[in-house]
Amino acid sequence: MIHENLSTFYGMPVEDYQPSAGAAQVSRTAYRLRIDWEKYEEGITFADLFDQYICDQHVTNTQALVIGDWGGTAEGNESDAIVEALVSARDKLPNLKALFIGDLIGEGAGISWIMQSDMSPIWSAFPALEEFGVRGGSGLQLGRPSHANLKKLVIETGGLSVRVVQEVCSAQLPELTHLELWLGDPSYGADATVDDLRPLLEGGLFPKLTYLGLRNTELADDIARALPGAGVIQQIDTLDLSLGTLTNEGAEALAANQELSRLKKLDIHHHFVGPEAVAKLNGLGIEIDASDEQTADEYDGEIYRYVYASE
Amino acid sequence: MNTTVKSTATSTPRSDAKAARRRPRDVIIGSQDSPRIAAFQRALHKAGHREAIVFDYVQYLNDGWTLDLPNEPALVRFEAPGRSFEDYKAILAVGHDEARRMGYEAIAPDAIERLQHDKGKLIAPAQYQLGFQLVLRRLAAQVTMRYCVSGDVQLLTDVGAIADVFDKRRCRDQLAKRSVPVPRALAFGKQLAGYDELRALMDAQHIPRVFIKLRFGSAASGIVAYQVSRQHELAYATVELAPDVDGVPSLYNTRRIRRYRDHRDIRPLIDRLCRKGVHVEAWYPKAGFAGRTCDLRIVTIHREPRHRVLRQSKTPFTNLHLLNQRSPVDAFIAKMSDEAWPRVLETCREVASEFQRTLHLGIDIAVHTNLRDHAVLEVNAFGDYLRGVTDDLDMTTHEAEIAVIDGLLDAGREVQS
Repeated sequence: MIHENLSTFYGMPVEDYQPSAGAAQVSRTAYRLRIDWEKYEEGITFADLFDQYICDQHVTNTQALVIGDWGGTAEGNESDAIVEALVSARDKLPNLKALFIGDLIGEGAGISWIMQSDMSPIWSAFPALEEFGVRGGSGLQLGRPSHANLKKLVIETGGLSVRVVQEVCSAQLPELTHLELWLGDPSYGADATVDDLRPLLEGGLFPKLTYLGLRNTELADDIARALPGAGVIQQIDTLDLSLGTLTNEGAEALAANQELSRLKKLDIHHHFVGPEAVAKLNGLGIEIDASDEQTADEYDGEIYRYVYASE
Repeated sequence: MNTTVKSTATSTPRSDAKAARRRPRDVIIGSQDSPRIAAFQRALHKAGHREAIVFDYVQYLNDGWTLDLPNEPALVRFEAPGRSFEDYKAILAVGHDEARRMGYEAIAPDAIERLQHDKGKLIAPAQYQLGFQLVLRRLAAQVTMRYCVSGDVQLLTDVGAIADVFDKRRCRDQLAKRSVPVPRALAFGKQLAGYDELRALMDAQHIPRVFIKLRFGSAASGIVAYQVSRQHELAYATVELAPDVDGVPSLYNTRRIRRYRDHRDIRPLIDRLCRKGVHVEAWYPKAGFAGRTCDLRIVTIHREPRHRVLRQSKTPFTNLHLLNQRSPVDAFIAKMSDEAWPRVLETCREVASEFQRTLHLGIDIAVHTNLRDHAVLEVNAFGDYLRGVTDDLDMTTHEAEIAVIDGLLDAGREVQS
């Protein structure tokens, strides 16, 4: 479960936008627009808040924008109206470099409760965009992302559909350096297999890629076993398999894979790997983050391992 | 090896004879072997006072409800009752008539005799709490009678306030009337019938996320965090349904938080919980800190907030784990917006004023995910036992309570505010 809202985004501190305070700090601050439940009950809508933001005299200097709870998000209100509002305000946001849609935490709406929508209008509306992040895989679509400047794409879900994985694999993102997919739990819609990830693992899809995150996934062991010979390893500096259900088996496969010793960093934090297997990973001679070891649950004789965020 | 040993555990009794002479005898009614009482005795010793005389609730019941107060001026303090199954049964038996009168599950005294210990099983929590309140009222009446005769005994805790805060529904409503920020309550009649009524009321009152708590529960016992949307429903619970020794599905407290997504699991759980008597309020979205959801336990002494700890969890239930180091609390406070923390302290003073005839309170406060707002989640009459926690004056809660009383006595004032 995610416990904290974004505190920084695109290298800037995140602050809730308050109409009374205005958006004067917009060149140094990533404002977050959100309608928490209390405001929602008072009848204040996201559209009201967004209009106020867009009419602020400083709005055109916006570089980074975070969209939080858009009102009734936990009750199932979808994000399509949000995407539409953003796109229709494109002329007021000519310098938008970074956008995050869905900064909600488990105390507001679980990651799988956030009803996302089709993000494809974003790509052409914001040509200056360098970073795009979205939380929530339910209803999420990317279309066929094509963007000349996007460097960082982060898709955080409790269950990512194979369709979105395919959309990512079809993307034209020549500047992409950071690709982060939270694949999630099959009970929450994660239906991709490691075979669906092969185009990514083969490498070359994104020529400038330096970071690959296949995070929050029950496929962690499968991915570890599929890595030998994967071209992407020759390309990247950092492989991030954190927040998933990596076990000793996966860790052993990683440790035996000498190709990984060319990486700068391997991140497996939040894992189910014992200390001995972690010690073997250290044999790769690269930076390893193996913090936050988890213990499996046992119930009625069954072993359960959970990814970091599914519900 | 260390040659010098810096002692913190032992201390020299204060040589101030005045304090020892002037402080009436402390009398504690609680459970003989409770670590709370041991801690309080240590604090008395450190302040140079005599050891408190301790009475046990169950012993009191067994002695025919007579309290043998010492024949000298006394300060009477109530502590939590013992947690053994035998202690539970003794108090449960007292609550039978009142539970039945109020329409809660009531177990007759002869059936209580036959109850077998079954770890974690929720047994008539309303009846137990009503029984405990009755015992407290009788004890308080005896102390008051003595006060009327000789004027030399004083209660440090108002039993009415204890009753108010142990009834979660009443406590929340009382605070709301005083404009203390509290989560919105789900409004219903005397009792909630079960799952179907809950769902209908959540829809009608627009509260899609709720905390269902035992109205007369304590700590983390019997809590369900439940949410519905158009697509899903989900319950996190500190209780689970399991067959008891006779194969009857029963509610058990569990330390391992359960997560249910299927209404076939959720419905019977909520139905059964409702029969025990529940209070339902909006799920207040709590701010996170260091990868956990958290809230604050603040202890007020004589209406002033003194001690604070951060409680943290990876689940929605923060009342399971507390961090007693100061640094995380201070770091969390630093994360809040500038005016937010003074307003939290103001809320604590307001809560303490509502229950002002009580020396100390443990107030649980959630800070909103927006880091500006906050709400009082719970008030605890016995919430002052925080091991290893000291205030700005480097005093434990018990030391601070003793010092406050000494200060009032030195000033020649009545102890009870």
